[in-house]
Amino acid sequence: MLLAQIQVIAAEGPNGKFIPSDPKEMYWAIAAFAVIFFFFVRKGLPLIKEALSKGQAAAVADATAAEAAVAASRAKIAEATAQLGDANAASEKIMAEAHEAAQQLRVDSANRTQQLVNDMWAKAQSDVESMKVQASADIQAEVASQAVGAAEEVVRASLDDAGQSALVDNYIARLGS
Amino acid sequence: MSDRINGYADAMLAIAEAEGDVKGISDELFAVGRAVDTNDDLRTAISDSRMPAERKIQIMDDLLDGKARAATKGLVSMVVGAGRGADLGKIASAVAERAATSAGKQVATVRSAVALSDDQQSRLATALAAKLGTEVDVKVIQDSSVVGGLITTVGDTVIDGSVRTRLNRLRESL
Repeated sequence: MLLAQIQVIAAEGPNGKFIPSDPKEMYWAIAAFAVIFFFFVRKGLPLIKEALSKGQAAAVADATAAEAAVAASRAKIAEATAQLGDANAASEKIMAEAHEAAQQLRVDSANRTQQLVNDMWAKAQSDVESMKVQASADIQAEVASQAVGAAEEVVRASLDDAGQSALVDNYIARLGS
Repeated sequence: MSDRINGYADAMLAIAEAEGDVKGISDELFAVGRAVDTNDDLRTAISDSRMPAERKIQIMDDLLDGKARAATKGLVSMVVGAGRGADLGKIASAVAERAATSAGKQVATVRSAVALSDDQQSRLATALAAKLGTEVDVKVIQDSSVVGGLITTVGDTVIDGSVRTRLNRLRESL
């Protein structure tokens, strides 16, 4: 039917329309189209399919890579989050240790201060005792010195020539005894 | 005792022997030596290297004028003039020891607060000889710090009967 219509239209001759007036041209055109179609199906279509396949594979690969990148990013985010968690834990541990060290330092300092005070107190008591003993000894020595000095003055005053001579004679007598 | 002091002592003893008066000269030298040892001003004056030797000799001559034999003065002048005035006491003691030894005696240095009479010195020498078993030549040194009594030194032996020592013991006991 359609072919008949085409033949009718073509038979009208040059009419300014696209259908050739000679039906043979149409046959040739169909044949050329068939040949072209044949070659298109045999050669062009596989190339298109291959190209599409390659594009699809590339897209799949890109998608896979993107998914991998996303996974890697997520892994890194998870790792960073874990590290952050570790850092927080470490920070808390450091803070706890610092607090404990400060507490221990405070206790040690207090102990040392107390020990220092005790030592100073003991030394002060010892010094006081030593000073007491020394003062007592000094007083005793001073009293002895004063007493002996006074005794010497008395002896010197009482030793006249006769007394001196008597002492010498007594010495000589004791040598001979 | 240094060789120098021994040398001076030997020389001075030889001179005293040559003069024929060892006892008298050694006694006078001993007294001069004691005076130098106990008088800081005198010892400083005759030891002063800046003072001319003639001046130091003149000082000793003035001190001994009319009180000592000429030989004693000459020996003292010799020592002082040689610049050994500071050693005069040690030299005099060495001369006394040599003089006593040459006479078969030991020197007994007796420190007393007062001068001893000849009788006391004689009795002391006799008592020391009896106690020590050897003749002694008593050299008396007057020392007021003794206070009373005597301190006798013969060689390494000290016989202390002084009031000073008794006072010291009293001080220690107090």
